Amino acid sequence: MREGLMLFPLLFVVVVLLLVPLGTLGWSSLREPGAAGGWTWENYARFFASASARRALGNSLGISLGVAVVSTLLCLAPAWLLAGRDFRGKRWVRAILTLPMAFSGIIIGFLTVIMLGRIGVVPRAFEALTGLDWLQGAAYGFGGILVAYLYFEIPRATLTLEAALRKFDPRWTMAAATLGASPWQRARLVTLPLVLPALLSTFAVTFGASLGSFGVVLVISRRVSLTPLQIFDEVFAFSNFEAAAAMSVVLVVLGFAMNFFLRGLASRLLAHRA
Amino acid sequence: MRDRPLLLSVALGSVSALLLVVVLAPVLVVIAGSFLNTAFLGISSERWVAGGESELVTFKWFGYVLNLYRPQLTFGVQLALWNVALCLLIGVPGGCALVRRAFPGCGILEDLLLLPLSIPGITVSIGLLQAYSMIRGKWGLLLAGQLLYTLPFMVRSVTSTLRAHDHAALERAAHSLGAGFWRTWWLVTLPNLRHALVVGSLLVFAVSFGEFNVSFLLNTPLYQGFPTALYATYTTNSFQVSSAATTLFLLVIVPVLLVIQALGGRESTKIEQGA
Amino acid sequence: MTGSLSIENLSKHYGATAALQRVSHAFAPGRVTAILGPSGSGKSTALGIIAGLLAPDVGRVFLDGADLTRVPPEKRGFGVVFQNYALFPHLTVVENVEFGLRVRGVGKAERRRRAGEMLDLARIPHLAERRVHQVSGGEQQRVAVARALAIRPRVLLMDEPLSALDARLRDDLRAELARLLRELALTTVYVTHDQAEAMSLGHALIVMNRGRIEQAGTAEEIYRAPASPFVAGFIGAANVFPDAEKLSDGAVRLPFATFPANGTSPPGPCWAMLRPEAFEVAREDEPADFAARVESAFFLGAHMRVQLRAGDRPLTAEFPAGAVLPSSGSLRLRVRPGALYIRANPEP
Repeated sequence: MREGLMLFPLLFVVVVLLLVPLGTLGWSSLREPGAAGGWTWENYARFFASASARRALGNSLGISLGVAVVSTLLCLAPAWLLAGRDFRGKRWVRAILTLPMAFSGIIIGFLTVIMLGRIGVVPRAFEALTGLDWLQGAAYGFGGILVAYLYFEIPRATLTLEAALRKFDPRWTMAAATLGASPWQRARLVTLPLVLPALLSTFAVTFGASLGSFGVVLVISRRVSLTPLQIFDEVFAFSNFEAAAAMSVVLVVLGFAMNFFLRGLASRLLAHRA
Repeated sequence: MRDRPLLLSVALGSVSALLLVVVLAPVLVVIAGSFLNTAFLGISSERWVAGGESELVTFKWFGYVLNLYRPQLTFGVQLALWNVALCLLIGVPGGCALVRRAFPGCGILEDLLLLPLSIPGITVSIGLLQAYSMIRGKWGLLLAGQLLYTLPFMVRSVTSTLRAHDHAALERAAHSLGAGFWRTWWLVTLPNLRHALVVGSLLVFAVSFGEFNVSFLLNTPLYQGFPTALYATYTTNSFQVSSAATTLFLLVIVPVLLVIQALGGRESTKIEQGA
Repeated sequence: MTGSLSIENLSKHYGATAALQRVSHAFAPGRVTAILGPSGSGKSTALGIIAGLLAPDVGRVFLDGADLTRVPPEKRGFGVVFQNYALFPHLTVVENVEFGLRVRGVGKAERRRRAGEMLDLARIPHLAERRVHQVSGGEQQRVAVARALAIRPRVLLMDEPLSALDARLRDDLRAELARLLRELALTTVYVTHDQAEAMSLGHALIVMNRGRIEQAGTAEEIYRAPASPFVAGFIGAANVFPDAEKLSDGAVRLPFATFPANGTSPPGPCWAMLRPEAFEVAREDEPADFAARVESAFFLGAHMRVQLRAGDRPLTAEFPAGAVLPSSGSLRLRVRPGALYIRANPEP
């Protein structure tokens, strides 16, 4: 009973603020626009029929996949050092790498424009040094967006990987060495299979975070369309809640599917472990 | 008992150093840009507001930004504090009850609670807008949306601490010494949670203050968080004003993050957060 | 005989701390040498260098005359049993055991056969298809031994292989391991901090302290004639007196009494040792060497352990369980002839 009292507010939040809104989302995605409308698949059909909506979804998925791969691989380096070794300034390294944790996409977009934009620091420095203007306006292309997304995935990827790599016992590779495994065999037969679950779950985390993000693109370039931005436009430009709801459902389902798939894979691999 | 291969150390070290530079450099440029006269340095944008070109260092943009965005700054802090208060009120008892697994379905409830962290913020805010259109325009909806994203941090902080220390045994010990349910909670559970509560509160504050994905749709012209003000600045103002506004944001958020790191809040920060 | 392993002048520093200082030893071929020492004594560092997992600052490792110092661990062919076994969690028991054969390119059928032999040897054939985390601690230890032996190692290295187990299991496995190691007749280096383990498993013993070998020899030699106060206290129980003095008349002065002593050491300061069994209670009609106060006494089955105080010195003594101890607080005691051991102070 007392536990019930302690739990009730939590239950209230989950039901009223999460389940009811998500249910409403699903419900209205199946309604015809307007108060008098009936049930329909039209919102989904229109979404998948629209070339621009498909392009936006492709951008969202492409950016998220690309950034998930790149950030997982790059952050493996600091995570490995943080998890396995003691060195001076370790706390500072972690503090700096987790700095972007609370930066929203728009701030990172602004930082990217400053660094890589038309008058950005990096292109100007590059031009001053080499006389080449290759990097001018790098922020506004796909590359700039990727770098910006990488920026906010660094804390997530590093912390998730570090936590997982803490469970990696360096004696495993030592044991493999004493049993005659060459460095390449150790990496292939011991390190990779034991680190793979950590990589997969980090991939899932970073992919999920990127999929819903739109602040970066909002600041950098409205020429690149993303599904979250289209949702925003449906609501504010066209007041078409039903279409926005359908788009939202698609986004949530895709995010879930990827998460479900990767976590399933990771836990199948982890089932081999204690 | 192993010597590290040198080549691997160098490779890991260089990639890490590169990432450190990538994270730190833009922040330093923005901070520098907020008080250095960029026109003086030869950097300027076409939106540059003329004036003050003669001096190298100027803090006038801070005054300008503070003046312009004081309502958003104060509201952002207020909103973050509301989040902290509600998370403490709801998340702490809730977290304790979840750990105890008092009811069937506690596991599902815990999963549902963490769900918002893995779905796009904009979809949650659309759902909230549709479900509760009658209170649209009030800041209650904004707080509700943020709460979905802050509450998991507090609950995780609490549950991971309790699970790490086999808290149930401590409570049984307290009961055996004659302490009742509430006394045990007050004298044993809460003191053990002190660290988790501090770290959790700071996390909640930081997440709320910097949140944009959910807030963007739920903001109203009257009630806006600071990131929304930043967005407005970026689209309408000069580089220096934008830099000063961003620096102001950093001044609030960076100390909070540093304290979290100093307190060793690593375990609880590892949960993914939508940006 | 093959398998003659030796180390020469090994030193290893971690920053400013010296983990190993000029350590040399020739290990007896085909026998078990136990390296015994407290934590931080350098015994694991020595083992790591022999295995090739650590590089020494200076010094060399030889096997049958060949210098192995620069040979990587995977080319040494030494079997290593790690402290927490370091079994591969993603592989089954039999896959763990055959790992060394797999990386050598041994065919599947052949390596299954040899892994099976090893599991029989370790008495765990029924666990072959289990996952590592599905077997108990004692069984994991057997898997680790089987895995190390499967490569037909030239030398077997074991780092505290029993320390992760509880006391009862440890005793059982110790006996079985002793039998196995005797049958194998492999040159084995066995690192432990447990003297009972070292004495029951090792044909030869090395006692290490602070990165140096304090003494090497058989268990009995070391027990009877410890080379330093540290060894005296570490192997068996001992009352050690670092501030004894040999007088010019041949007697030895301890803080609480003076004893006639054998031994040929020259007069001067020395250290002395009395094992707990060195004492006997003087009969009423006998002269006593000294008197001591009884502080506490425990019945330990075959004998009584008594905590005494002579002057301001605490002493530990053991008497046969049948010994008649006066109930009063004081005992008149004699030291058995030849039981007082003295040795010149070690070089500073």
